[in-house]
Amino acid sequence: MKALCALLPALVLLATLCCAQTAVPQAPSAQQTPGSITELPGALPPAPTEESPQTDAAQPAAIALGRQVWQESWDALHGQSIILGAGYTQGTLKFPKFRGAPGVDPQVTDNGRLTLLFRYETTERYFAKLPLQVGQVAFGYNFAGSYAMLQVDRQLVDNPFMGQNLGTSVHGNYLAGAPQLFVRIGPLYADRAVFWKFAVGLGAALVRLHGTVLPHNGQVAEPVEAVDSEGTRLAEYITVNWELQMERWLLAFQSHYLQGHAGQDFFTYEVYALSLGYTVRF
Amino acid sequence: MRTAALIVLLTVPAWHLALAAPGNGFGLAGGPTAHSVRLTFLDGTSQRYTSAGLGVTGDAQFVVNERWSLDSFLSLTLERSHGDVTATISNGMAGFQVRRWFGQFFMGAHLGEYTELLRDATHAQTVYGPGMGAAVGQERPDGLIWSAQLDLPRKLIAPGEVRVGLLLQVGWRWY
Repeated sequence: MKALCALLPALVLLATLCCAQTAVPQAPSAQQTPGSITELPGALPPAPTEESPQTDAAQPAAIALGRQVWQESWDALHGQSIILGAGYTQGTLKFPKFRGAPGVDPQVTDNGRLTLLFRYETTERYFAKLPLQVGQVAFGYNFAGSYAMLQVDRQLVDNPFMGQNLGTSVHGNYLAGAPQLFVRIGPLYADRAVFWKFAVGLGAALVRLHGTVLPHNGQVAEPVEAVDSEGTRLAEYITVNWELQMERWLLAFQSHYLQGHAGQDFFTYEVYALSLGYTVRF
Repeated sequence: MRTAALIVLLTVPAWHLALAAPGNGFGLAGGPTAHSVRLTFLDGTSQRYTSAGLGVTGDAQFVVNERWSLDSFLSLTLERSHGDVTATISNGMAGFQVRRWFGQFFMGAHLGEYTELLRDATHAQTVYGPGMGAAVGQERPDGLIWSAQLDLPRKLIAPGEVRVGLLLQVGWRWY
């Protein structure tokens, strides 16, 4: 015990030294473990230490070299893009105040299905950038358009999300476009074009739909009513995208919301999708 | 005195552990998870059920500096419930977390979009809504990571609901 007590001041001193080290801004040291961020080409260069002295001129050069490497990933994002893929989607079509009657709101969904992904995006423009240890956070805007099929044939009865096959269905398609604001972060690795992006867009869609619904969701005995957009109609469109771009591959979690009129009926269409796509830039 | 010595002895290695900084990279982790749900409907009736199972999370961490990082993640669970609802449940989440680092250790807060896929003998349903949560954990320089995450999904079905999720994970980060 006495020996331990004698060691105590030394241990406290050691702990103090460790604290002092952590208080210094930690440009990663060259002695970190293999695979640590210091070994990535885009990482900050090692801070000058007694073991690895650096000249003032060498450090900016190393930073510039690192930035040049990850900047290539950003440069590769330049241009317009088309994304083709497939995913799992749930879409729900609702008619609040059907035929103008309050409280009558037929709702038809697809209970989830496999869908194709068709998307087009213009060149990204950035209005603010914040530096990261590797890469940057960029706030920007561009225009995104997409095409999708509308295919719902399960009417909601006693469950707000899963419908039943009651013989009703609505089919159609829509072409949507929206200017969007986004934040893009990356690259994840200095020499790999891996980015995360979150985008929100507000725009318009051309919608065409037709089919039948039961006016009151649970009443199978009543006659079905036809719904028809009578050609292509303009609708409001909101889109939210959560994306992980890995080189040319895209993993996207998306939600789309459309609202407009099909004939005399006001409708909304909500879509949630998890998709995998391939990006072609030009 | 003995206690003080013990504290110092334990603290010194901890400080060494805490020296490393976070790193960029993909992470994959999994472990036990549990959810507790209480639903109160407009007619005054209520349902309460809890579920437990396994969860897996994939994430991408972007380091701002040695103290802060941004983490984008996707989680998926497979659980079995008991209580007023007996079903197989899968909870999913797409979230974005801001982490404050203390060496290898972090505290994080996140926002996310939550989904619950519930399937029993008679029907299946998918519900979704926003939510938030918090996490604590450690990421070692060799890649080993662990975390404990608390989630509070909101309004997946009705305003009068309370949902709490807990996810304990061990995994790996590829720096």
